[in-house]
Amino acid sequence: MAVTEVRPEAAAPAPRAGLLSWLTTTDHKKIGILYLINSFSFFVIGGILALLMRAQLARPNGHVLSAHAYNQACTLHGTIMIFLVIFPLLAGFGNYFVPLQIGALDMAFPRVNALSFWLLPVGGLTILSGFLVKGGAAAAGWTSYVPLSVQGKTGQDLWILGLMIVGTASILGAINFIVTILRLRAPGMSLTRMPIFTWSTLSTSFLVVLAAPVLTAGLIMLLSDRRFGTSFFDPVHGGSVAHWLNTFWFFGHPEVYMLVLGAWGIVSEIIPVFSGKPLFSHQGVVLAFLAITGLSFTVWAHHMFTTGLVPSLSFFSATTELISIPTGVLFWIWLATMWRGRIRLELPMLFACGFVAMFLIGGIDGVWLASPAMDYSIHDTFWVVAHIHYVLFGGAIFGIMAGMYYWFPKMAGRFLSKKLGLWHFWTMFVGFNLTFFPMHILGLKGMPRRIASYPADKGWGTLNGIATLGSFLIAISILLFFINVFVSLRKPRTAPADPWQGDTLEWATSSPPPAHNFDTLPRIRSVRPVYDARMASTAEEGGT
Amino acid sequence: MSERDLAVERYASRRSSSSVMAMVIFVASESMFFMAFLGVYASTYASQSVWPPPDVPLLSIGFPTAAVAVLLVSGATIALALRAALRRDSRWAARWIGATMVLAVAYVVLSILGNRDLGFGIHQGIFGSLFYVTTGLALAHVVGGIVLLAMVGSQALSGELAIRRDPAQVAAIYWSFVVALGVVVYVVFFLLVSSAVTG
Repeated sequence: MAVTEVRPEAAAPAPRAGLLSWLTTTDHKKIGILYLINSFSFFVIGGILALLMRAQLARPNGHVLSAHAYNQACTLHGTIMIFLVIFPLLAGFGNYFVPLQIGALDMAFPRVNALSFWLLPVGGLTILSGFLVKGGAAAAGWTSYVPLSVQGKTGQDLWILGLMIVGTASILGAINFIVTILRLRAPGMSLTRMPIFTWSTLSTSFLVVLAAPVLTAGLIMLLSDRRFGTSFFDPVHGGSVAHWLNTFWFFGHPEVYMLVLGAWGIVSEIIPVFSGKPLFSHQGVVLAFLAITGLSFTVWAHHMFTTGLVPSLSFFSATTELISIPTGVLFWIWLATMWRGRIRLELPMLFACGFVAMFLIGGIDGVWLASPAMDYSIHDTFWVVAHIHYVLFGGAIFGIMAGMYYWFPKMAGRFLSKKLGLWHFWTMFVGFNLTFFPMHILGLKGMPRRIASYPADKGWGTLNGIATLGSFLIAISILLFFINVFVSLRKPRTAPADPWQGDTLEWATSSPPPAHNFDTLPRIRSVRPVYDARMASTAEEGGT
Repeated sequence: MSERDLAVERYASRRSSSSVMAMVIFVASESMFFMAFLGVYASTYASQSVWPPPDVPLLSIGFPTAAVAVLLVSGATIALALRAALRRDSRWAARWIGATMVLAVAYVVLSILGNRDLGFGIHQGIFGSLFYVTTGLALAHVVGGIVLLAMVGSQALSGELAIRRDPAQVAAIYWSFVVALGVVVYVVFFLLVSSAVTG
């Protein structure tokens, strides 16, 4: 029988182009970029809400926002930044770079990957749609403590539904990451040779899979109490507010690590490359990640020290203090990697150093909060606001910006402008510290968080004024970053495959990579396959 | 077998493992979801001097016992379906999946019958809240399982299970979770409560 062979080129459907190709894509790289665009869009919204709050608090007895509007801004700022900005930004990097770092063609389930992404804007817009309904958006804080959240208007229901959608997206994405990492690694890429950023994504994914469903359960109880007359959180009918606190914080504290593990992974990639040395201890970082992942499930009640509902303050204080040991190991490894290295202070390294310094402050002021004796005096003050922002902005956002400058040439084939990048870094660094460092002092002076106004005789005005000034400087820095991205995208593609002399597999392919990711893969015999290939090539050239 | 065929076979076996691994992780995630409700139950139980609360009438365990017995039998039939699929016997896999679906529908019907005239509503305090929300969510998972079984059953009927094992493995993992969940719900909400009331 005669067989006519169909040439693959002729049989393959023509690739879609334009907007439709982005809307229907299942390519992990395009989905990664969609994550970044979506997250930075929500970043602008969350940032504007933050500026409104800072404008309101700039002076005593502010009149920029009503108390109810302030509560809505405060709630949605926290919700957006945590669930729709920081976590999805890291998921975006994960989408783009995890398959590249492990030498895979794509994620394990590309269509589920697309679904995970598209659920995010749906969930985010559901939450934001609260502004359009009677009574406004959710106003019970990002923690939505009961009974306040039970009493809220329709906006609170939209907040609950939106978070359920975002939670579903996160769980689907996390399952996809775990399967991709455990099943699709290239030959030679053993777990011990896996890049640190991929390890951080794996750890984060386990946290999401095990912690996010508990929040979903809490959200169902909350919605049920609000709309179906149940009594989960109603002490009069046998319920307890402790049920919300426990379900929320059982998710909420691992959530903090979901937001910083990825940033630690990025920084752990950048520091060795720009120090001209291997990471001081690859195994040390991996073990620290695993220890933190495990310990993060044992610390949630430190958020509840002052409620009187925690059976053992000393246990939860001890586990919280304990988590600072693997975190300290990470700092030690980063510094030891830089020590006597050939440091190149390019923009990714500058942001990585900013991250190390700022996250250190966030870690130290967290240790204060871990002590019940201290916590009783500074709980629910601006000290906590300072702490969370040193961790999530000084830590996660600085780390994410380091990642943007590091990986932008790979994603776009173009470099971001160094001059604009330096302006971005210094305005963000100064603005960040101006905004959040004074909040430590405000906290010690007794200024409570989540207040829409304060009287002049408290003496909090000057420090709040400085904080507001700093917040607008941060806004300028972010504007400079966006200008940098837009200007750089108009330049010709000049970035080579390996512009930074990188170590990991994403630098073994063109910038940007082809649809199939790799034409050829180098042999993987260590944690630095691209470095090995570079050295082998240099040795060959030397030999000839 | 050519080298290319071997590569395709290796890739296919890897794909099947990915689906199975994904379902195992999904089930772990779902377990955490229900652990939250059971945690609230345990915490409430520990804080109450009388459990169930005095206004909760004695629960009849006839229908729930029959329902959980049917569910346990469905656990056996899905195991037989999986065995057939692993033997690449698509016809018997389809039959056992069909039997599992019938038993699953019977479980849903018996559960609904058992929940008629309980004598307390969802508004009636923390026990009513926990009872209706947890059993309702568990039942929703059974209904989801029936949809999954229908999808895998259609693959068995089309003969696809003769060449792919992973859909049957995925369905079996999920259904085993549903069976375990049904047993836990029965023990916590019916057996222990009835023994507490009668004891």
